[in-house]
Amino acid sequence: MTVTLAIVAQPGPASIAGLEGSFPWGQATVAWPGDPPRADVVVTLGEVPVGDREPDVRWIGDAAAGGAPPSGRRVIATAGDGLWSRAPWPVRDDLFELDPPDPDGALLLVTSHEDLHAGLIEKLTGRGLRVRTAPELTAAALAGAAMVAFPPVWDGDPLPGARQEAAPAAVFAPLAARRPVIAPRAQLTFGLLPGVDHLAASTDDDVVQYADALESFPEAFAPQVALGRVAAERQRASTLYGRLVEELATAAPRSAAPRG
Amino acid sequence: MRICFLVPELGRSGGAETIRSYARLLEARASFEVELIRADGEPIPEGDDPYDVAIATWWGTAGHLWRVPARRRAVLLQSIESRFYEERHFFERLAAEEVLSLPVAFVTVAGWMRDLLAELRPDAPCEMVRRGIDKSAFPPRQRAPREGPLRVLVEGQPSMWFKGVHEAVACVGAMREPAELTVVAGDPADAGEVDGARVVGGLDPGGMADLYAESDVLVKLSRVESLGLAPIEAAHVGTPAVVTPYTGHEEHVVHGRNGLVVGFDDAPGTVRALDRLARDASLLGTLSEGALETAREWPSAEDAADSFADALRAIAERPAPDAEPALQDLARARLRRLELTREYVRQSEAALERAEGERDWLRRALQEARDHVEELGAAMRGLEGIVAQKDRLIEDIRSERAYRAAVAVRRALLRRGG
Repeated sequence: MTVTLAIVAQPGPASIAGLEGSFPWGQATVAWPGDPPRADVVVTLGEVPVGDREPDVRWIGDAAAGGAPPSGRRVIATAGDGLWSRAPWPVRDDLFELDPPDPDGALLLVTSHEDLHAGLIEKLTGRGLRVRTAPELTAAALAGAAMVAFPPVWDGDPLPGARQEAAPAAVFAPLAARRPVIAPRAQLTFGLLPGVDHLAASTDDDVVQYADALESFPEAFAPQVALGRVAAERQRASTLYGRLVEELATAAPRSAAPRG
Repeated sequence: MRICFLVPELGRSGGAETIRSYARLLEARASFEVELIRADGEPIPEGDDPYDVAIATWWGTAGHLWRVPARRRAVLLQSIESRFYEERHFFERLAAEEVLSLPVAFVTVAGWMRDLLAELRPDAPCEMVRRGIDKSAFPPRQRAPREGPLRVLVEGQPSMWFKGVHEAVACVGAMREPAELTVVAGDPADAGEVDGARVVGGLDPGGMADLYAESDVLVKLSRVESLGLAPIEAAHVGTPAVVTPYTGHEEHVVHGRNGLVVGFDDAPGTVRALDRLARDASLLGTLSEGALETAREWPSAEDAADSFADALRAIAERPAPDAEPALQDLARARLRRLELTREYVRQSEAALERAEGERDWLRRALQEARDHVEELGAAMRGLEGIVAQKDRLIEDIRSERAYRAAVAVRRALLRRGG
């Protein structure tokens, strides 16, 4: 089977969940939004325009959680109704080869809610922790990070031990790159095991304590990092896109339709 | 060679069967003398004659390795056992993790664990021996062309959180195409409620082989496995599997060749995969042939016992592992345990403080509600007094002569008018 796959994405998502190259199942390329992709299968990462063609799959990431159902025939997201599949993003193969983290690197706090997490940032810097924030995870930001935190997001006062609906879509990328991860405690973990392959936080204080421990004793957390990488292997982009292409190429049209 | 296995109570799990199988098959070899020693609270028999190799088989037995005389000590690592424990079983999980720091040789049952140990404990001797299959109990079967509903077999103990049995049952229930569901559990009496499924269990290998052969597909949505024995057994009779990537699956299941791999927590994707198999007899046939082909390459129980014997000989012949790197690793593990315990206690205290706050709020609310009920009761009693006073007033009015006369006049007028 030789199929061409185009992954249409903004540079940030493409850098962590895209795929380029030749594989036993076909050829993968990344296209920028707006460029008309020439491929047998077209997948978008996030809600991006694809010229006049309806993409075969929209791999939304986190966007469907709690919001309006995304448009599209086949939608993959971490949460939401009427999904074709429920899954986090794949991990770009290159990230498994990223250089090990610099122990003097900073904690990368991935949040698009800077106002909500202003208090957390203050607590982290107050502890003397080096912190960089980013609204989304990118390969460049990941390369300079010693560890990565996806802080929990709550409307009100966070409850100790509370769980969000789903783990973040990008959570497997830092695990593949051997960065220890602090992620929100979640009901849907996509195979991640809290305390085994990552550290699960429900409140800002949980994030601060774990970040402090990880910075103080990075070597002590080697088992979590190693098991995180084992978990990330399941999300390897060349494996997941290969399965997707195989299903789209062989499945009957009826079975490919989302369940109403 | 004289060896002993330190074992917990051996149940019906695949791991327990692995130990029994090695013990039985090695004992049958003239060059081996094998003992099984219970090491889960039972007194360990004392003796001076050292074993050539003492083998712990579960994290709870590893601490007892130094209570038996032995020239070499090893751990048969059938999983990274910390993964069996949820967050609430915090201390067991940490204890299970520490097995990886011991100054012993390791025998793993899958390549991913060997690779993990090579990363975490490059100093530790490590052998990898895949569990074999009793080829006489699981011979290839002729499969008739499929007709009727897809016959789905879900394997796993429903009461174990990481087996994903309830998720699998829900996916079968959500299929568009007709399906017949059977759940096979190690202990069906402890299976609990499993909606719409026939639950069977306690089967011997021949019974399991028949059950696999009567099924079109095996579904295993475990979150944690080391190797996942059931899909391998099923493949031997030509039944393909739909599995989550539970680790160890990659030793055997190849997506599109002998099974399908679906994502964790991906119910829509899993339902779609099952519907595909129900609709596409050709795909099911291809996967069945692929399963038989893969099974032919899988080691037999005898092959595995030979490899296990070789591994033990290698462990016995090598010098005992250096304790220093193990101690360094233990020191790191102690730091991790300290930091995580500190945080576990802080989170527990925060949860307790929150719960106490809620309790106090509820107590205040209850007292306020009681006070309110008391006020309402007093108001009710006042109202009842007023009502009684009114009733007496009405009776007084009714007893007056003028009232009775007026009533009599009205009746007379009504009769005349009627």
